[in-house]
Amino acid sequence: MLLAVGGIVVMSRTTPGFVDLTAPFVSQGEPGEWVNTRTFGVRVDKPYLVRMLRQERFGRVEERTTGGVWVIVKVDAVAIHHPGMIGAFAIETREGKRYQHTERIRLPSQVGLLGRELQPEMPVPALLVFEVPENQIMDLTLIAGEREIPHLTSEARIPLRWSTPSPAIRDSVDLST
Amino acid sequence: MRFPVKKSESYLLVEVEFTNLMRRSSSDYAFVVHLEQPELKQLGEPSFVLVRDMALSDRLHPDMPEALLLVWPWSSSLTAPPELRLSIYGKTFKPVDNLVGSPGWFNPAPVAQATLSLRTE
Repeated sequence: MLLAVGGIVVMSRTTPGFVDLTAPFVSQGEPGEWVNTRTFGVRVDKPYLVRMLRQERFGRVEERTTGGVWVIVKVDAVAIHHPGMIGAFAIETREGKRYQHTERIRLPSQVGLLGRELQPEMPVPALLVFEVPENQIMDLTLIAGEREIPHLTSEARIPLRWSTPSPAIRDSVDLST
Repeated sequence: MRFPVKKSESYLLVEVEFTNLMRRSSSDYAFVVHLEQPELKQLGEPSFVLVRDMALSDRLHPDMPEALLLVWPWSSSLTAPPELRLSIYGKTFKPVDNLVGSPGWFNPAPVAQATLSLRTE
């Protein structure tokens, strides 16, 4: 009897909390290789740092500055088994803070990945755009997930590697090209 | 919620600088600034404009301060008070909430007051 009560108390104390119980299923990988989850695959091609983005929309040139730097990641993406979308993209810094994909830029449907339906076995190239503080650009990790609320979803985590210890930051990039 | 700015003859504008102190990008800042004067309650909820883009603002990212404009359409029947009294609300972080045990920011409550002089242009 006492053993049963003791057992129940131990089990109740050691049950993981809600966040751990519903944690996403994470697939890790390196840039340049396909990182596959249950529902999608991502391959990081190359990251870029830019101070200002330029885009021509409706005949007008729009410039987007940031208090930090823009991080543009060139990726390839594919669905696995069924057509689907990768619902959420974020960059995690060394401190563990997450910066969601920007909403200030609308990329054309063949360039962006937000809300874009992917097909199995047909990888497509795309651009992801984030803004992060300039002092956080070392040790960034790309996190691609099925949706933003990460309960029991698939997630791919890929570190972004720069070719030099202090990567160059371009002054501006025209996204219309 | 993004409220597009309703067309009006004139507007009440309050410029603020917000810095997201959380660990995630968030658009949960509409609750922060309250107008205290009772005659201004009829103005309703403001729209938020990112000064950098002069467009409606979305999420603010951690540790990246941004200048925002709070925009209320101003009705000509209102007389402008000599000064604007604002209260600033804050939420507290609970690592384990009461519903499912996940972390979050709850219970908005006033944390500061501010009085600003009003300028008519």
